[in-house]
Amino acid sequence: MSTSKFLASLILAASASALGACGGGSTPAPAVTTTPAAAATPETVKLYEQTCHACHSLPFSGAPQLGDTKAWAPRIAEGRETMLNRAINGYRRMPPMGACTQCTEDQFAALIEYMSGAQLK
Amino acid sequence: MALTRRQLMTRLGAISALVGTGGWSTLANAARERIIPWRNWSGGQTCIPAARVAPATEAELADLIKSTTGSGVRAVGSSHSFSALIPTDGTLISLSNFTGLLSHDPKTLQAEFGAGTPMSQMGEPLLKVGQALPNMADIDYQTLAGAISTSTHGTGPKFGSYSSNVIGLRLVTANGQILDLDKNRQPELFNAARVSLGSLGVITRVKLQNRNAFRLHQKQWVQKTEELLEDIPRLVKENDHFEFNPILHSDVSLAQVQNETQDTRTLAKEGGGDGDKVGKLQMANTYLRNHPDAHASLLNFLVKHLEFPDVQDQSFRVYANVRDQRFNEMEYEVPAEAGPACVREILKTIREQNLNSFIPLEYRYVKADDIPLSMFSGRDSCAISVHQYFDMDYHNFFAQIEPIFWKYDGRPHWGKLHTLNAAQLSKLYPRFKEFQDIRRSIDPTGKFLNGHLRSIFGVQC
Repeated sequence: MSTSKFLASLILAASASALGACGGGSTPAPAVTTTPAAAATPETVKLYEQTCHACHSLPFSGAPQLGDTKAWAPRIAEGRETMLNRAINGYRRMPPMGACTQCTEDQFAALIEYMSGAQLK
Repeated sequence: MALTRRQLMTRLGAISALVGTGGWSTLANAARERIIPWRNWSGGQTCIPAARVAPATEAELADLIKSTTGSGVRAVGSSHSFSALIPTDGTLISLSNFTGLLSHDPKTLQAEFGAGTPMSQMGEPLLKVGQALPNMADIDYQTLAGAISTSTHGTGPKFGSYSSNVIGLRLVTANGQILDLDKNRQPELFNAARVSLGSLGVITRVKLQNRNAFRLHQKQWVQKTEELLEDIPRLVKENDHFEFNPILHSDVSLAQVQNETQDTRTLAKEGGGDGDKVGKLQMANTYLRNHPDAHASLLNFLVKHLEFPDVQDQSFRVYANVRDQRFNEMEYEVPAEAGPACVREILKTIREQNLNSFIPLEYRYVKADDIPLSMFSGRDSCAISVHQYFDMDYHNFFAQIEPIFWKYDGRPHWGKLHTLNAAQLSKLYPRFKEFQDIRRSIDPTGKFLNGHLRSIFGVQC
């Protein structure tokens, strides 16, 4: 991006914010395609509630939400190793281990499958 | 459940048996499991512990601690500390099975929680019993034990840190004893354990002095930083909670006040985190940091036009924010009266040296307490924080700022990055020796120490 394009995008963004303030509008909730999460053991559900839940059940957090198969699909397509690596070591806004400091590899995989409703391959 | 050493030995035994019987497919599955490192929230701290365990009961925890030889037994909460409090090649203990509201007293407004309870999961159960924490921090990702062990705090000159509201706790010591501590039961140990960096033992439950549930109104606005600094005495006096965030490389800050209200209307906090707003600051820094005047002009314009709607809700829904842009952080607590001069010097240094960072500073006030190792021990304080985006190097930036804090007699936040050791810290904390004596008496072999704590306490290997 050139500097001039960057400046234009920033000013537009600021203007849009100002307009939003004038209109008193609020951001509508995004449409979410959800399906029941994959069958999970009580242990996995408990781990989810202790850890992943903080972001993966918080709309607008940027994290794909529990059961939002549309948001999870492109991530799951990257494969088990990539997903596990990101969960364990962190990636962009995803903190390492997702706060599950005691989780094993299989538990991380089960948590991902529970949230995504898909099987890791 | 993570493997205990005993389980690990059992599995290794099973693997040996499989080799003998030709069970290669099972062996391949077992060998596939990777060694999982521990990392903190920012990714800046890492280690590979020998064991990662989550005891189910206090008895199991006590047995584990008692039977562990050597040092490096560290309890971990949400891994949100930026300093090296956790890294160990020994045993890492998760408190994830010690959570939730355990008891409460409607007359005294006291409540006891499992020490591993995330701060984010305390507001709702407390509301149901008519209570609330008197104050909360900007982030609620921490667990209760982690927050009190590092004297984590919110803002407001009439409010102490989370530790100052602790009226009792249960501690599992190096020899496996389970101690209930409060002002009547081993009061000196209790007071030291309110801020102990996990060096006295593992805390399993915490009793808090709360208040009745209440509602809070939050107002945010953008103003010239110098105007805010001049107006601080009035802003602090007229509001329950005041803080501001100077925008680096600009002339403006985001100011925030929060006040208790009886108004029952709810103005819910916007969903999501601060990623979009911080992203704009990052873009400006990326493209304009070599043009400081244009950078400042754009930021002055941009920030004034960002939207910060009022919020009004139950207190715990107002205090905490979603910080979804990861970062590393350094924070020092300077005497309250030194705050304006200190932050002016930091901002001047960043501007004059055009230091490469874009996440706003944070400027808050905290009331004094009487806890030996608390950053607020014996003095009302101003907390000033600097941040660096998680994938940018923080060393050079923080190294330029840290000596400014030293000049103003600052004490480093225990959970945030700093470079001080026992020789320097003992001069900043009048009761440092008192804490050291207590620590040596309860953990004479240093079972709960890692390398970072040895440096802080001046303990040779």
